[in-house]
Amino acid sequence: MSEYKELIRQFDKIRSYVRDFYIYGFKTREEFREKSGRTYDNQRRRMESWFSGYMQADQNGRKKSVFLTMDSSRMAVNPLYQAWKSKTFTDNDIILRFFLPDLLADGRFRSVETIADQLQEQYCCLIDTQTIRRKLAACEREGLVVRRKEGRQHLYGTAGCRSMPPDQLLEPLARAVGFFQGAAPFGFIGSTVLDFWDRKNEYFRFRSDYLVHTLEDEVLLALLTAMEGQAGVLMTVKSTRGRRARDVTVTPLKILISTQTGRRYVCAGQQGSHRLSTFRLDTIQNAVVLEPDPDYENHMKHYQDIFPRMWGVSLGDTRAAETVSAQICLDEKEETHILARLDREGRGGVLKRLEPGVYQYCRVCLDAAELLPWIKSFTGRIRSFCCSNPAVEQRFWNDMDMMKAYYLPSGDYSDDEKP
Amino acid sequence: MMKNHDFFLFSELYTCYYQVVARILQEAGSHPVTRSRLEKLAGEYGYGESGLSIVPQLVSGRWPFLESDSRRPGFYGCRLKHPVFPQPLTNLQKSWLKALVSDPRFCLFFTDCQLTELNRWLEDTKPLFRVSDFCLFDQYGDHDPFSSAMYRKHMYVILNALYTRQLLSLSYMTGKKRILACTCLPCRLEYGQRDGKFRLYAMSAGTSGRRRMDVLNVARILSAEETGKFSPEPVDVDAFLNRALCREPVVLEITTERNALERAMLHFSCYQKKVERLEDTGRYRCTIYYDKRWETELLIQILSFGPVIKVLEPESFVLQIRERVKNQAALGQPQTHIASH
Repeated sequence: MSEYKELIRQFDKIRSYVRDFYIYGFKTREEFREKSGRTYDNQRRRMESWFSGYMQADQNGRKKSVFLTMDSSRMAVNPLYQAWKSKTFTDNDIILRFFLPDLLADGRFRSVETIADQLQEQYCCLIDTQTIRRKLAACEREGLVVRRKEGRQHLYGTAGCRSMPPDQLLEPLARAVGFFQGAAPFGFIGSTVLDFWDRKNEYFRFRSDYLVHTLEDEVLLALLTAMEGQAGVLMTVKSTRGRRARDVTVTPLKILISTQTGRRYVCAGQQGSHRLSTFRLDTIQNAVVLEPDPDYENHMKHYQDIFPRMWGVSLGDTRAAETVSAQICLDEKEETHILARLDREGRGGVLKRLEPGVYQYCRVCLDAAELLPWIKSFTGRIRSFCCSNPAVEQRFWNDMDMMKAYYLPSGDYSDDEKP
Repeated sequence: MMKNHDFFLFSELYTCYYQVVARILQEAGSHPVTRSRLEKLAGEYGYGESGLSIVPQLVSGRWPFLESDSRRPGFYGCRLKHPVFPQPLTNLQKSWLKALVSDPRFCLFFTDCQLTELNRWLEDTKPLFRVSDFCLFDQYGDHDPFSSAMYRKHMYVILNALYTRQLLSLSYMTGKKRILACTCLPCRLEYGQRDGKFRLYAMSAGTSGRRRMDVLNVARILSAEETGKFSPEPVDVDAFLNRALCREPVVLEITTERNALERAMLHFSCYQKKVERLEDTGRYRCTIYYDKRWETELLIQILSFGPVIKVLEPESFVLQIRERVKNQAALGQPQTHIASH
């Protein structure tokens, strides 16, 4: 039996645990069936350690659920970034991580043999040249060390100003990083810059921030690499409802982000056809970049053609566009914010004043069902709702009836009615 | 098959333990430290149990960065000859910075000269991603004018004031088109991804001398001038915000129809919340703790789910929903003129 450690080797193994603890939080030990109970215990202990302060437990009879919860608008740095900072290392890794830069800080270039000798002389560290050579090669790939050839020897030195910005830029850059570590893709990397510079984000906070996105960053990086190379990807996808994972080969075109619902998708062209599909990033378990797709331009043109008719991410069952029209009532003097909402949230829909206090919103889209949540957010003001897809229109009115049945059970809509 | 990419996000270079050790070495470099201080630093910068792994390795010399102080037993000094911070950046970190340069918000943090210099430094670096590869398809259409010269100037003044705790003299256009003037201390900038707006949390003193926290939309600031006066102490913004926290959380019942549970859990994940399964009905009970200032926003979000989410408590919140449903009922029944437009 291996000893418990706070640090881990592979990120994939904890991704789904962190997500389950954070998003759902009601699952008990027995419900994590994919791995053994001992694995669950270790993962839970790790999370209690990584996210201490944000973990809570709930006891329901004999069952205990442990969950991760926080108000994202109060967070200076996304606590889930801690998961990215949990990689294991060896004793030699950490020794060379600190002694190598310290030795090379004088700016002189040295051979591997000289480095080995000086590590022993100056720091009493006996490390074989092969290990040092491997570490220097890794540091060179990371841009921390540069190599030059002198005669038949390779000499190594620090990357100097290439890896550090000019002094006068450090302060504004640290401020910018403080902001973007919470507001840009791959914010985790920004938090490591703060770590490297011994800085903190003191002054920025992020409202309606979906912290869980960081767990998808490895998949996202593969997708963006493919997009840059106009290449395909082989993805393993497991939908949240389905039990089985499936492999799909597609050409990623765009990352679609919903700031309202917290979902992120990739819109991709299906190889061998002209169809487009969207996949939620949190359902993609793995993505491998393939060769460039000769059809990339066609897929992209298709996407650009249909994007103006998409409301969200659904491409609809058929290619026929659907039309939605709703009449919204408002007090034009006191409720200008409603009009502002229709305008700024309407994603290009046409707004028309029908009569004083009544506006008509109209939008053509590929899948009208996607509009329903937004329209329902105006409940109390919707004078009419029509859709060219009768099933969508029916669902809207059914939902309104169900809301009435629950909140106004007596059917009496007068003011003195009690629930 | 192409190479996936040049970078590894999950790398030992960024491991939390390295950062703990770096901070210990920084302090031990300035003055010898005790074992209990090592444990304290490990607790502050590491995970919950990091101290148990890190401190013995340092003290035993297996990680030979510390040396015992010959004059003071129990104290440890640092064997490094140079300061640990700032550490040089990796290609991954530089590549991320390079990608940010194309973000319209990036220029808010720099002068034009600084931007030129920064571009020169990052000249040979390939961006990690292209901003154009992302589409925030439901972000509100009226986000802040990041490229506007006036907006950029105001942000620059505000940022400097934040970091130096300097009071500013501001004039501001309110939502009701009134112009206000005040002297205040910028304390925090909040960015809303949904609306693409910066909000400034600024403390000012009322006529009675009582301090209050105002929240100002940066785009509505008409002028921002430095006063040359500084606040000696930082302000605890969260203490002010705690006053706005709801006294009673909102309690929802969520069904499993139409994938509602999954949708709702992600949607409300940005709030502090608790979820329980109701064994008798198979439904879920979700308790959300929210900021009273954003109550209407939460209410609208709940309404957007329709009947798959029901509000159970508190009564004041239920009444607001009921009022809207009642208004909706009063507007009449469906008009069945499908596709009449």
